[in-house]
Amino acid sequence: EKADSLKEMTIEADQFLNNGKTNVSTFSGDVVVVRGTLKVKAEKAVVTKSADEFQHVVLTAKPGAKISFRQKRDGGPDLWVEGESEKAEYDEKTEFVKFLSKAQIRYLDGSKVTQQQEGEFLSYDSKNDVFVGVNSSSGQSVSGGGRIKTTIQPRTEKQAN
Amino acid sequence: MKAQITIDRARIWMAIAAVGVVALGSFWLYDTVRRQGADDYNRASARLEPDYYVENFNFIKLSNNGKANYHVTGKNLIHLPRTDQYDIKEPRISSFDAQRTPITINAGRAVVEQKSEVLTPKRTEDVVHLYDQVTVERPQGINSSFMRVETEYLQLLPDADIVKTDQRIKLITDNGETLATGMMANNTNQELRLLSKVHARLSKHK
Repeated sequence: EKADSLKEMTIEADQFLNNGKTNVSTFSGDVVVVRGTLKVKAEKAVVTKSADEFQHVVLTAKPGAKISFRQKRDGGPDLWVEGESEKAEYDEKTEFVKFLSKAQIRYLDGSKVTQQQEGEFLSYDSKNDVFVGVNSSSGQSVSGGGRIKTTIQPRTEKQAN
Repeated sequence: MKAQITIDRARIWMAIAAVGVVALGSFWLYDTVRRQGADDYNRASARLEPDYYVENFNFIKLSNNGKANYHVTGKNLIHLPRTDQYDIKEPRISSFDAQRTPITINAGRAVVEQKSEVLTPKRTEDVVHLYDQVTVERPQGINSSFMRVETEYLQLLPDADIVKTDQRIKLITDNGETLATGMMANNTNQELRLLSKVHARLSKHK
């Protein structure tokens, strides 16, 4: 949702470690990242700073578990997007949320899933709600790599009342 | 006959051994009591009230082995002989050395416990306790970013260059503001650890 990009980001966790030399901060233990309506849950979040002072967050889940993500979508009162994956990256500059390895994204209208996507690499531009699916977690399409599976639910006819 | 003598001799030796044990035991008991008495004596003699105090002081400690140097100022310092402690009002400690950007610490009160052989148990390292609105500040430096810490209690271990607390703490950096309970900061490897209930607000990119 566009409005999210104006909001500040908060991160809650059990523990935090900052290395003054490399200026890398690591949040660990039930990490919850919130920015406006964007909410990401993970086990660990490593925040680094690029040269031009933009924050880059890499989130990883407990082994065997997954990261979960939920955000409101523009274009409707109750449109949401939800997702899980083993790893995710969030870049403050591009506002891209990249889901890597065994990623799954669901578009919801209220609580009904209108579109579902699975794949190795799913990248979601949370500023413009643009969505890209690629079959290798490096972000380049690899022939013979995993398959992207998209299921789009039929649009329910709005009864003209 | 022969067996008889050896038994008698054995019995005699046993008696001598028993007497020896008793003698040693009583000497050991006497010595412990005497030494315990001495400890109580020299502690009792160290008065409870301060034996000296300093007003508006400037204390500079220069270390030659590359360790941090300390510059401590304070409104008032009193020395308590009984516990060999210094009690300082409104201390301001700045630690500086060639490689790192200086760190400045302010507090309402400090209790400095230096290494001391006199006390039992002995104190093997310097410990500084800081109370009431403690702030630690490190300006932006060549190899360090701006950092400010605010808490109600902080413990300094100058020898190990460690600063720690188990209280609620606020950490302000140019990335934003973080609240947590418990902190352990190691100045030598520039690592800062927040121990529980971490809540960080990352400021938006300006």
